[in-house]
Parts: sequence; structure tokens; C-alpha cells
Amino acid sequence: MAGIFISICVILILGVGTLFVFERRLLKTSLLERVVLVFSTGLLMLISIFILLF
Amino acid sequence: MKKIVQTIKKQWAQVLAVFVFIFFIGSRLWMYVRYGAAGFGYDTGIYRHYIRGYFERFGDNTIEPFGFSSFSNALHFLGNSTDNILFFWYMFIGVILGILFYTVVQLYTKNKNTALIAFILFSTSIVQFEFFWWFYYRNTLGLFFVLLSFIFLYYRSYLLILTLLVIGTIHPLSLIPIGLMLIIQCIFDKEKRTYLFISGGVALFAILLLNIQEIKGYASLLFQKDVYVDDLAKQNEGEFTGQFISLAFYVRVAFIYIIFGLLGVVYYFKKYKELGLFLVINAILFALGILFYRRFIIFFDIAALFFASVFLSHLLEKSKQSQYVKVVSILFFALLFFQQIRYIADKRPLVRPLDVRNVESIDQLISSDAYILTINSHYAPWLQGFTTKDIIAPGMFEHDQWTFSQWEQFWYSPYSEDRLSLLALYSKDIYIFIGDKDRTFISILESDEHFIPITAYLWRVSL
Repeated sequence: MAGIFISICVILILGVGTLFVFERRLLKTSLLERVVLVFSTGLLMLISIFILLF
Repeated sequence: MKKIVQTIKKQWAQVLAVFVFIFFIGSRLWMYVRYGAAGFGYDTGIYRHYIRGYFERFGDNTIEPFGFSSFSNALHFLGNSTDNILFFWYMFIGVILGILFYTVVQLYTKNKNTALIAFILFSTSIVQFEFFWWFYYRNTLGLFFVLLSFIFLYYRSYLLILTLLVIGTIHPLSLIPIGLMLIIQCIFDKEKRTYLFISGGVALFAILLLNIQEIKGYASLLFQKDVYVDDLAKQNEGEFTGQFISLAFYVRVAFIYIIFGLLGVVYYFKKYKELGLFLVINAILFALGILFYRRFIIFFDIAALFFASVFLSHLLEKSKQSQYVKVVSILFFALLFFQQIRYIADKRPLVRPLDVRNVESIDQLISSDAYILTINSHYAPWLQGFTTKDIIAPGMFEHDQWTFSQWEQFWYSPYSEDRLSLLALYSKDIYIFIGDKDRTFISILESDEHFIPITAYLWRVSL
């Protein structure tokens, strides 16, 4: 359970951070779209980091 | 009570959305809740093997590259167990996939009702349920990031580079239809040309730079496709098709909305060019019958669901004064739900939950390094994933040393010596797993003193 919680937190932080830095306009969308974008982008960043580093 | 009914009437769309969402979650969780680890398709065991194995050898550069491990290792690194990654994250991403599809439709059509219809069609699509049930984890992630790519494409965001990179790394097959769609758009759409050229070019360069070994593997498989080894087990031929549903099955379960999807393409192709192209490309790729062609049905179906929802939404909007149309549409959607409920309720697992529990107990029964032999390839993926032993299975994995005719000898020969001479080819101890589907083989084991029963499902070979 802790792993799931930590992962979701990390993914959301990565998502918000990425969108804030690179695509701030995407944070000005509707609530559902914003949540989906934050999570999806966060997961995208997490996987990308592992692809690039390892 | 009257007030509640009035509120529901006023906010019917929100109420319906909540109902559909609950239904959708239920459809994705049902098989796992009912059957546990046996509730999904074959690939469950194979992915468990990969998730565990690639994390155990994290940082080992000699291991064969496997893009999916970037996803599984990342989650492992954050404290998820193998089974969390296998089940929780798969089901979680499966649910988010539905919401992502809703978001894509709403974004492109600017219409919440169209998006709601799309979500209803997605939730009640037997094809999408089958795709989820078959446990094509990489393909699911591929579809997830394809949908995200459509969102970034809409906003002309250069984050598209990363989605293409991830798709190309985790599931290169998923990159083909969206890659072709973007290439065609790049050629014909002057407005987006520079953006697509940069995004696609950088992504392609990165994929080739970071994942060339895996791409080479796929390319060599493509050239081997026409070469059949005589003794390959029959299921290996199926592997080259992508092992998903056939066209006949697809038409049978999806005809109820394909017609609307095709009408939607005819009427609204110009308005939604990207998705129209995506649908046509996937149809062509399927028709060509190239390597893993059945997997393109999944993407075709997504695009068909999009256009079906667009067509239905416009039809209902134009006919909203007609009571007759309202009644027919309610019956139509009720039929979709009924069809899906019936399909899922009748769905049976490939192996019994008890067989999977038996497989899970094997490591505790056998402490030594030994082979587990299964006479039935049905159990092979579960043995591979839920034990730490090397698996011998007909025509599967790397330890099988027998040809197909030798397997036939092992299964059917009336002579014990034939079986024993085949087993003597292996250097380690061998244990034979007997699942529910193999009960008839027990009489052969019982009649030969070289096979010693450990449990009802596990026999030791004594040569």
C-alpha cells in the first residue's frame, strides 16, 4: 500500500511540475482534463526518466 | 422524493456519468475479484516473470533490453511489489484509460454529451473488455499513451515527443498507426508541419538511440514471419497474428456500433481528420495481415467508438423532440449494457483459481533448482510467472528441447522407455505439474514407478 501511495504522489508531483514548467496552459483546462493530464503526464515523465537514465 | 426525481431529471447527464463510471470500474475489476490471479489471460504469468526478473537484474547491461521494464522498474523503485505492479497498476491504468478516452472525445468534439456517449460505448464494448482481459500490458500502456498523444497533438504540445518515445520503447507496435498518421499529417497539413516534423523527428531519433536492440529484434521477427519450423507447436503460428480476436468475432460483437462508426467517418471525416486517418490506417494495417495484425483491431475500435459517438450524438441532438427516438435510444443503450453484463458474467478463466494456487505453492514444495514440466502449454505462463523454476512446456520458452513429434511421443507413447529417454535429455531434476486439464495423464504417471507423486498436482521424475 505504501508503494502505491508513494508512486501516486510522485507521479502527481512530476505531472504538476512538468506541466507547470513546460505547458502551463494545460493546467488551465477543465478539472477532469487537468486531473487526467497531471496523472498521465506524471506517469509519462516517470517512465521517460527511467528510459533516459537506465 | 419528488425533489430527488426532479434533481435527477435536471442533472441526468451527471447521474448517468456516475452510473456508467461505476459500471465501468465494475467491469474491469469483476474477473479479478471473482477469480483472483486466474481472472486474466495468459500474459499474466509472463508479465509477472518479466516484472520480477527485470527488477532482480536491475542495472545488468548484459540482459536483453525490454522497454516495459522502464515502467515496471520505476514502480518497483518507488516501493511497489511485483503483484502490485501486475494487478493494481494494470487495473488502475485500465480504468484511467476509459477516462482518458472520454477526455480525448470531449476535447476534440467540445461536447460533453458526445464524450458521455463515447464513454458508454467504451464501457460496454466487448472488444475493449477482451483487450483488457487478455492482459496485454504493454499494448494497454501503448494505447494509454496513444490517447495522450492525441491530447498533446490537439494542443500542439512538444510533450508529444515524450509520448512517442515511451510508446516506441514500451510497445513499438503501437507506434506504427499513430506514427503513420502523424507522417501523413506532416505531409498534407501545412499548419502543423513544422511542429510534427520536430516532434516526430526528435522522438524517432531518441527511440533509435535508446531502444535500437529491441527494434532490431522486431525487425528480424518481421523477416522470419514466413519461415515455419515444422515442429513448432500450433500456438506459435497464432503468436504472429497478435493472438487477439478474429475479424469475425469483432464484427459479431461490435456490429451494433460499427455501423454508426462507419457512418460517422463518412459524415465527419473532414472535421476530425486525425482520428479519421487513424481509423483508416488501422483498417489497412489489419487488412494487410502484417505481423501482429490483430492488435490493430484495438486501435481501429477506439477510432470507431469515437466516430460512433459523434454520429449518435448528432443524431440524438437533431431528433431530441422525437419521443420515438428517445425511446429507441434508451433501448439501444440498455441493450449495450445488457450485452456487456451477460458477456462478462459468462466469461470463464482459462485456468482454475485452484490451479493457480497450486502453481504458487510449488516453490515451497521444491527447494532445489529443478525443471517444472507441464504437458499442457495452458499452464506454462502461470508456471513461468508464479514459480522461480525453469519451465519446460510444449513449444514455449527457452528450455524446451523436444520437437513437436517428440512431445507427441511423450504424450501418447504406450512405452515408458520412450518417455524416460526423452526426460533423460535434461540435466536437472524434473517435476511434472498436472493441472485440471491434464487429469487423463495421471493414469500414465501412476502406471510407471519412475514418476513419484509429491502432491495431487506435482510428480517427481526418478530416472
